[in-house]
Amino acid sequence: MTGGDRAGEFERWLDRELGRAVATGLGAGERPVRPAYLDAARGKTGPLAGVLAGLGVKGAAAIGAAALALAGGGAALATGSPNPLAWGQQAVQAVVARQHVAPTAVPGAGAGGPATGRPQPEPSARHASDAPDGAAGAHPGKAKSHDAPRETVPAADATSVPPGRSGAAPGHQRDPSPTS
Amino acid sequence: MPRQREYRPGSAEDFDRLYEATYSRLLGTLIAVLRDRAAAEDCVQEAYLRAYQAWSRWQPDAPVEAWLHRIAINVAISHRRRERLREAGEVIRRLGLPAEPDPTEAATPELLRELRALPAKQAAALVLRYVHGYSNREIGHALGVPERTVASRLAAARSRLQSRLGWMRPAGTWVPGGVPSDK
Repeated sequence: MTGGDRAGEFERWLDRELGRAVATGLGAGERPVRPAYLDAARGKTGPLAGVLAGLGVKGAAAIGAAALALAGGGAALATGSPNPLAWGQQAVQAVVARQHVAPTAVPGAGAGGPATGRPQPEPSARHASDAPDGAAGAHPGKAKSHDAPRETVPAADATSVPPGRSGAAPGHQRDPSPTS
Repeated sequence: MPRQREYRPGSAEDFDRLYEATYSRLLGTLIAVLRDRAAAEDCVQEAYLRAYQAWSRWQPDAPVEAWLHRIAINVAISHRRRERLREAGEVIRRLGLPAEPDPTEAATPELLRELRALPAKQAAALVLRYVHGYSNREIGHALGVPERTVASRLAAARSRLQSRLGWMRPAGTWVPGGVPSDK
């Protein structure tokens, strides 16, 4: 008997016996009443999850972009300018304006400057010119140790926060996107 | 295999029908690939869950049941890999003590036992052809290989299984597992 005959006969045997063996392993098992995909994809995660799953990656990206656009719109409303570059400038101006209102709030200038991402010299220079001796602008750290009534500083900073917050809002708005 | 024009990608109702129509065959395939029925059932459920999540992206030019099989076989391969790692850990933990015999092993037909010892894709290819009657094209889709390589894959799987079963024909009769035939 040749190898080909042998292989052919084995194939016929396999054709006959494999179905039987698998049927034995399969037994008379019943189908699960509730498939796992129904629980996981529709039930437990809520109806919104199904909608988001249907949207896919592109849909999630579109939602994220819309959220960013909304946040940007909020910042534009707060600053009165649609230009994102102007938002930072508005924040700096607001901080500087507050410093003019409360000239003792020297450390606030130091804290506010870097947070806006703008170069430090401009507000410092302005402040230095306003300060009686110019020392506050040159050494904000030292000035901080000398000025006792600092309670006005947080209030001034707090009022200067809104433009800054509106600029930071897109970062916060990114939070929901991973859940989509 | 169900006619795929009956199914619309993304339709939850159609996916439910697909589940009803294909569950037994998918389970049968994984029973032949995995060690036990419980593992096969878990993997089938996992496969349907993955398929459901990708259902809106299914392209009707691919045979739907072959697509499902492809997902299921990949889940089974991952399961076998984890199982091997766990077994390796068990061997280390026992430090040379003999393994406890699996009570279900003795009741399993020899053919099924040897089939499970093959690489997962080879075992699946044999089941798809000889149990489900898949064409080479459908097997190619299910295994993620070109159609032209399916015939050689099947031949390799058959040869390996034949060798594992110790098939010989000394006196005009095939003898499975080297046990002399009564015929």
